[in-house]
Amino acid sequence: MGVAKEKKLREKQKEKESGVAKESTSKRIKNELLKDISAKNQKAKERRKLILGVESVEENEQSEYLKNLKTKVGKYNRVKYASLRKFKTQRERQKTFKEQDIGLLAAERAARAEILNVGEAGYLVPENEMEKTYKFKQDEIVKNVDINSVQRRFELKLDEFGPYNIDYSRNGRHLLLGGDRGHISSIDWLGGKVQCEFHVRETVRDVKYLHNETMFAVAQKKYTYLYDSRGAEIHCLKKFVETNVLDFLPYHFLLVGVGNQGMLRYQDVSTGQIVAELKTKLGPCKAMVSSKYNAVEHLGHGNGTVTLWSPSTSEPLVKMLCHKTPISSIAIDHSGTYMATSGLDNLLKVWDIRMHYKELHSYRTFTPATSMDISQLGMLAYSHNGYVTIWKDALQSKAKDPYLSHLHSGTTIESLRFVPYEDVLGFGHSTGFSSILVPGAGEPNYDTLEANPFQTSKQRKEAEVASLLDKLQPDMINLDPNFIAGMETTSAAKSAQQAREELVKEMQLKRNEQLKFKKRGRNSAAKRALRKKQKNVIDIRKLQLLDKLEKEKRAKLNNKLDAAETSGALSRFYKEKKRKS
Amino acid sequence: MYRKGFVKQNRGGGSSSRGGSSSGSWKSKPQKRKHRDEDDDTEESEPDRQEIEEEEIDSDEAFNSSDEERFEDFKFGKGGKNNKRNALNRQEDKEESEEDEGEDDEFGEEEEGVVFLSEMLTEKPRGGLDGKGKSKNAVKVDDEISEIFKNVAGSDAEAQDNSEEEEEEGNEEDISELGKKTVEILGAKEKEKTNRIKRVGDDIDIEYSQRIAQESRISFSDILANLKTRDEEKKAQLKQGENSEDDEGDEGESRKDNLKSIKSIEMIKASLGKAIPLGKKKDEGESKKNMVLEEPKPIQIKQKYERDAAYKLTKQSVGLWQPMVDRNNAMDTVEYPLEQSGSKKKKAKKGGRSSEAGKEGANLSEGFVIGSASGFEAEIQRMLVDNKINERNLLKYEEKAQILRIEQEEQAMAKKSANEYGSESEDGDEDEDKNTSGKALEKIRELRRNRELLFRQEQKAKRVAKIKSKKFRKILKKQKLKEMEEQDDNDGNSDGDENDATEKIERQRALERMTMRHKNHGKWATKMKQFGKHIEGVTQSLQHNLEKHNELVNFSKRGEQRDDEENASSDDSDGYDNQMDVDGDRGSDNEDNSKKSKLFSMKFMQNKEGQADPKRDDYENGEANDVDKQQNVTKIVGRKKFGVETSDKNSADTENKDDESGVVAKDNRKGNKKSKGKIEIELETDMNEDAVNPWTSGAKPKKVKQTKNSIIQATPELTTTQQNYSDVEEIDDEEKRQQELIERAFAVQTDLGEKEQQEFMMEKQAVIEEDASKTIDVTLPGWGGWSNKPTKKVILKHVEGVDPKTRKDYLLNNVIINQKAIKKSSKYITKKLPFPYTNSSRYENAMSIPIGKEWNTPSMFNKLTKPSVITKGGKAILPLSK
Repeated sequence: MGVAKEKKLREKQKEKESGVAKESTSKRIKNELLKDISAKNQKAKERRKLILGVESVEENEQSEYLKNLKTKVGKYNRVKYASLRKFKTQRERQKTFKEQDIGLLAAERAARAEILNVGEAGYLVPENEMEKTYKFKQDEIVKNVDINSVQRRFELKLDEFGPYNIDYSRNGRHLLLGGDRGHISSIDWLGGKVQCEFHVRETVRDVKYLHNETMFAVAQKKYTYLYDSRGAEIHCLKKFVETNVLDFLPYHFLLVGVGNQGMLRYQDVSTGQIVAELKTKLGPCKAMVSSKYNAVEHLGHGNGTVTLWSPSTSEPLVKMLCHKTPISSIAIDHSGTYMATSGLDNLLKVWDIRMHYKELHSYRTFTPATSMDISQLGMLAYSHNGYVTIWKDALQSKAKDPYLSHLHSGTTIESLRFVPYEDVLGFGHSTGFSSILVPGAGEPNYDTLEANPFQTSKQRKEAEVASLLDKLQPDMINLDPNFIAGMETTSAAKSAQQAREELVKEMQLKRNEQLKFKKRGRNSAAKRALRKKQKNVIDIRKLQLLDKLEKEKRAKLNNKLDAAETSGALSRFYKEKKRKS
Repeated sequence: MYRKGFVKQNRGGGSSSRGGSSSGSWKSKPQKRKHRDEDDDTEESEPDRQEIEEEEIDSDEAFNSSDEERFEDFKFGKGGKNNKRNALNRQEDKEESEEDEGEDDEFGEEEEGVVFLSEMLTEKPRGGLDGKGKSKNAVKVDDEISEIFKNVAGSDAEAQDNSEEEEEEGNEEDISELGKKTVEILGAKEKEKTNRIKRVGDDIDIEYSQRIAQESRISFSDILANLKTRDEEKKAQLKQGENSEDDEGDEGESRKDNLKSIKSIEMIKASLGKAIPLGKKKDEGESKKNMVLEEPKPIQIKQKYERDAAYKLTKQSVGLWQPMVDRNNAMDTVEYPLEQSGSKKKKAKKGGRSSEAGKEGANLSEGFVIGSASGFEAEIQRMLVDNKINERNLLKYEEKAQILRIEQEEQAMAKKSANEYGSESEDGDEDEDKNTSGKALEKIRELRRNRELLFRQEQKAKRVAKIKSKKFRKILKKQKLKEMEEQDDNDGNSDGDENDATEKIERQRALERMTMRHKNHGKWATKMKQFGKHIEGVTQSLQHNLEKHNELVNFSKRGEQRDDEENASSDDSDGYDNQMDVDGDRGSDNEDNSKKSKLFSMKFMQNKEGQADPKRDDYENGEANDVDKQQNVTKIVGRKKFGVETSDKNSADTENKDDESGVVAKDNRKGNKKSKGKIEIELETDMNEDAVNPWTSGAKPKKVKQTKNSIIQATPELTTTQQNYSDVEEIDDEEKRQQELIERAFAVQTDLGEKEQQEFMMEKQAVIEEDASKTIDVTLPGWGGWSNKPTKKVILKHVEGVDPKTRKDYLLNNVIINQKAIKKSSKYITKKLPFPYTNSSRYENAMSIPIGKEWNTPSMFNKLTKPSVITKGGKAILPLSK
């Protein structure tokens, strides 16, 4: 036993040790992994059961929390149940299961995160049946609310240039006033600061904030102008002639206008391009509103119809006869499920506009509603003369009594808007502007990625850039906003024959360039191509060539027959002509 | 014929014997026979794959009487020696394999048989220490083998010197010399080796067969004798070496083989012992018949078998990675470097836990990973553990050491003093000792506290030094100045004060004269002079600066100066803001201006201002400046021409009327005026006047409305509202009456909306017809008919459309839904399933799940957007290791 042997020995020992260590770690990892997977799978299965209801769990077994969660998750869940059995391989089944599960997990997490929504909407609640909430006057409400809310109730007496059209910025912090006779003012009404105030000395038909409070559009006597937050004129939109109503689609950066000519115009305010000019062919239009669900514009016309438009078609997507009289105003709720229309027939109708475009119920207004709006939490407000009437839960089902009513005596109300994220309703009227408190109107929990009422200027700038980067294309506006990246459904319905034809056509297009006509004479292209082909290979191309050859043959035969039939002096020419052509 | 024999053999031996080593061209008949046998074996091997592990036993059994009979006549040459050694090796091998079976390993064991020729060929010679290493360059394998052939009968010593690989090769050759019997007995692993040898080349085979042909006959008794002696020798040797050799890991194959061979040799002995007498009894004719071997298979088929075997091997070796590959596939994200880091983390965690469990607290050993530590680390770790050293202990040690040191110092001091002042009593010494140790402790603590404080201060200073805010710096500066001044005030109460002050002023004046700081030469000031004339407050501030300059350059009082200093714009970039502040202070001056603003001249605004609301006052105090600022800004910009003179309300109203351009409104206007009187009559009878009347409503002139409003106001409000919100049905009667009334008055207007309804239905019908599928005649009149004959052909074109009954609006009377495909949006739809998806439902599912921040919780967002492969920069991604 020399030194060398000893060394050998030691080495071997080491090797063995390390080998054991390796083995054990790999084994351990494997075991842990297996445990992990099984635990995860168990959870995933439970989730699947709960949300998709794959297997009906007995109701007794479900805890209250789970029940709640189930209803909440339903709101967020986008995964459709698909049976795993239809997948043939285990691998595919596993993958599908995993893919579905991640969607369910996302929904569950989102539902659980609702716990962070601390804000709660508070309503006026009558103490007994005899008490009616609509009897409460604003003064009484103001007496009983906190000082912050008290400040939200105010009036601006502007009796020189009224009546006023109004608009709120997307985060509800800024108010834009446009007096009919040219007075325009942009106010940070929560901060109590006037951004700008100026006079255009001509008729102002409508005002609208663009993506944020730094820019707004004003529909004036002839053209529509864009102003910045200081009131300096940025642009004159010469295509927007005699616009009555303006609208802005924030995700698409489209300014939409419709006016006395009945032309619906879309202009991209980020690039300046006119995206679409669509003829409604229904005369002047004074009522327009866009759905927040799918960005489709809803126009109310003089013949009582409402038409739905996207900039990618020259015809309306949907046309519905809503009233027998001209339509005075339209409003759409935030989920894009309900539409309210009011006509000169003193009726206010609520429609389901998801699939069936059905009238759900109607309310009577005492004079035609001049303006309507639906709040974030689904309160419906309309104005008639000097009255503002607010209905709660009036969309899903027919409400018996209004929630609130308010009389601004001695005025006619021109336009009214709920303030986003506030329990406030503002309305412009012939003698100025006033805002009233409507408990429970606004969304109590705001999403700062969407709209931030307490936005700093830096945040605003960042949000502007982000929203520009995320800008949607105008073609993406459709009745079903989820059509993007979908599958073409019609192709599935096509018959096999059609599919084959289409394929052949496609191939033809591709191959057309390759076919060369080198020789002239009797040798047909199809024959030539066929010759080059391998005889035992039969593919689409070959079939196609064979078809072609047959056709040629038939054509020749036909020619001959025709020639034979044609009699008279010109018959020989006829033959010649045919052959040449 | 052979088949039969084979079957018999199978019956006798349980399963087919394996491991026929040699192949190639065969010259002698017996050899041919053998070859055939072997080939069939491989053929048979396929269904027997699962039995590979049982093979060893089977192989033993396989050597039954019939075999013995067959090989009875074979004689062997001197190869006996080596053969024996080989056999010994095999036995050793078997023992090893038994050992291995003890450790239930998933990966290790299967690998062992797997050594490819290609590997062998490319493998370079290792050092002599490399015990099992292939000591000779494997490229020379052929040469080696030929050498071995020459040395087959060589001495043991020589054989031992050869490397084991060589031995293996040699073994096989020996086997050939011994005869096919031993070859047959080889186990499954042995067979692989024989395969390898097959591959080594047919050229060997030629030599090989020639050699065999030359070989003189050897009797079994010779073999046995040889075997016995050699066996014992080998065993003794092995027992010596076993301790060292059984530790080997991956390279154990050869040793294993040895063990196997030993075992198999023993088996041979046993079986031979039984078989020989039997064999003698059997008649020789039969054995002679059996001696005739079949022709070798054609090369193609042979190659096929070889490929088959090779495939098995590769499959086995590749299969090793399957669990890992599966795991990686199963993972959502694979992080590179792979798992080593992960396992380490886990280990670290585990180590931490275990150490906690061992009540060692915060252990020094936590940092070390026990399993994977290198030798040095492990050694240190061991030492630490052995001496029970952990961090707490260490602290104590340190403390003790410090105390000791200080004590020593003190003692030294004391000694020194003692030396200087004479000796002291011994009694006091002990007390002193105690004192000194107490003092030392105190001192240490104090030191520690100081150190701690110093450290904290340093940290704070670092943090403060990092702050880049100009404002903060400014404030800091001012604070310092103030402190300085206060100190100055405190220090030099009376005497130096005046001197200092004058000196300061002098200095400031000098500085101003030197720098001309307030002379509006700065960047901001020059710019403002050029462009900022229109901005309110700018001129003032410029003026202010100039004044300041004058003040400074000329003589001024000290107190004033200081105040001004604070107000003045010290920094150019901040200048504008400061101006605004200044303006804010002078808000009262600007009140006249603000009054001009329309909004703020409104009565309610003034009222609000007038209200004595304490909270509001507070708010105003805070925000007043801002408001004023805003006013100033608004005053300057925009189109601020108020050309419209205040006009009468009435005139305004009429104007308003003109502007209104409602369609129906204009049409109805006349009617309204006519009906006015009637409605007022109605009003007297019915309280909710214009509510129910559709005619008086929409386009009424506003003046009229107002009068009506006044009427309503005259009536008690509540009652009207209450009546108002009664149900529609209740009103229906009233409406009917009204309708009748109107009908009587204006006969034309009664069919309200009828016309619209009809028009709409017509339109819908038109649309339905347009969309429906139809055939169109596309024949051109006169086409082809010029030759005196009219065309016969009518060309029809069928256009596929939407069946009216399948239309979406089929059941909806008042709705037309456009069913034409939108061309522009067709680009957002796919016709075929995109690549990774095999099923439309999977694809749709993937598309429907949003991954953006807007729709997901942050954690989910991270999870959804995590890349499938994560690599770390600067870290090498090593290939998978076992």
